[in-house]
Amino acid sequence: MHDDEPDPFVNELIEASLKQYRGEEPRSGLEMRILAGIRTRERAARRRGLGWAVAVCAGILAVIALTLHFAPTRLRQPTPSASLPQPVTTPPAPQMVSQQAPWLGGRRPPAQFRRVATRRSRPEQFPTPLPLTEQEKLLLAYLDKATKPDLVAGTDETDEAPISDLEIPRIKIAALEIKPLDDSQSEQEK
Amino acid sequence: MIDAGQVILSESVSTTDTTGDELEATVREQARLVYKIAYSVLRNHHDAEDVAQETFLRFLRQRKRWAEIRDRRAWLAAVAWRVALDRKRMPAEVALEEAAEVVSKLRADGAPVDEIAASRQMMSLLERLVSSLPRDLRAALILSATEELTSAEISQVLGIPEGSVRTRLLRAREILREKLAALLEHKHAR
Repeated sequence: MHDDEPDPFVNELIEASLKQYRGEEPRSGLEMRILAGIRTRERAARRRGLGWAVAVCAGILAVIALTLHFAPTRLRQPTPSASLPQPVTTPPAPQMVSQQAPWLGGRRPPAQFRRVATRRSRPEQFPTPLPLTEQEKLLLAYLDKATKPDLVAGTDETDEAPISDLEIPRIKIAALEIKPLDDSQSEQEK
Repeated sequence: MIDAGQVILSESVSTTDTTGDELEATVREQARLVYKIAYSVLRNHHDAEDVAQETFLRFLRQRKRWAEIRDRRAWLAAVAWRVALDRKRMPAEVALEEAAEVVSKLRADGAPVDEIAASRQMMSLLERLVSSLPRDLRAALILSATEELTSAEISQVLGIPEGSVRTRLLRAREILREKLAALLEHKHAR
């Protein structure tokens, strides 16, 4: 209907309106505003990146600190002195994990169980012996080289000196002198 | 000789010298195109400037690929088009009947076509009619209405053959004409 008799007014109005539709020119200083905006946003993005980097570093440090804090206690035990009793040797613990493991049919255990088995293996001695100190090494070397007479010679010679007999003088007992009683003295007493 | 504007532009982007110079040159050459494409979609100065800024920021972040971009103008136009479409909100509801009535009245009063086309009612009417077009036709019409891009460039932005661009433009205008004629006839018949 409209295709057969197009209204020239409508045609003109559409074309004129489309020209208006393209919009106005940008305000002056558009380039300046765009570049300033880019600079601001780039800075903000860089700051955000820096913040993330700091957060990641802090996280890593926290993990390290926690790892050290909860590390096995034997790493933090003081060095025992030589006066401590000798460690008791115990037979190796039976491998409980492998006995209970359901994957014995020739397959490797899952990774998580392998890790558990490795961590729980017991030491042959408890407490675990520590390497000898320098003084202990020297003492052992001396004992290896020294003979028994040498060791005996080291004792005190005064212990074996002969003990002379005691000389006790004889006891002298003097004779008793008893005077007879006087009569006058006896009357006075009366 | 460097003018004041160039000095100010040089100070506004804190990138390396070469990158900054190239970005500035590109902004100076293509800011208007990018802005007009954004405006044709969004119909708002503020939003159009935001989109222009976002477009050039994306361009800056692709600085390592600048050498690979053969047609920088078409690349920027395509980015601006996509960014603007992402931001586009639903157009404000316009009472078609009322707008058509005002246009009919202006016509009856013998107002010149340019005056009617520039009226707020006619612009609202056209926006509604354009937004009601099928998406393919609407994209070709909007990009063409900016009068900044050739058919070949529009075909690059939309990724379609150049012949298809011309066909879509013709079809879009035809539909607009039919719808506007129908609206005005309806009012005239009353």
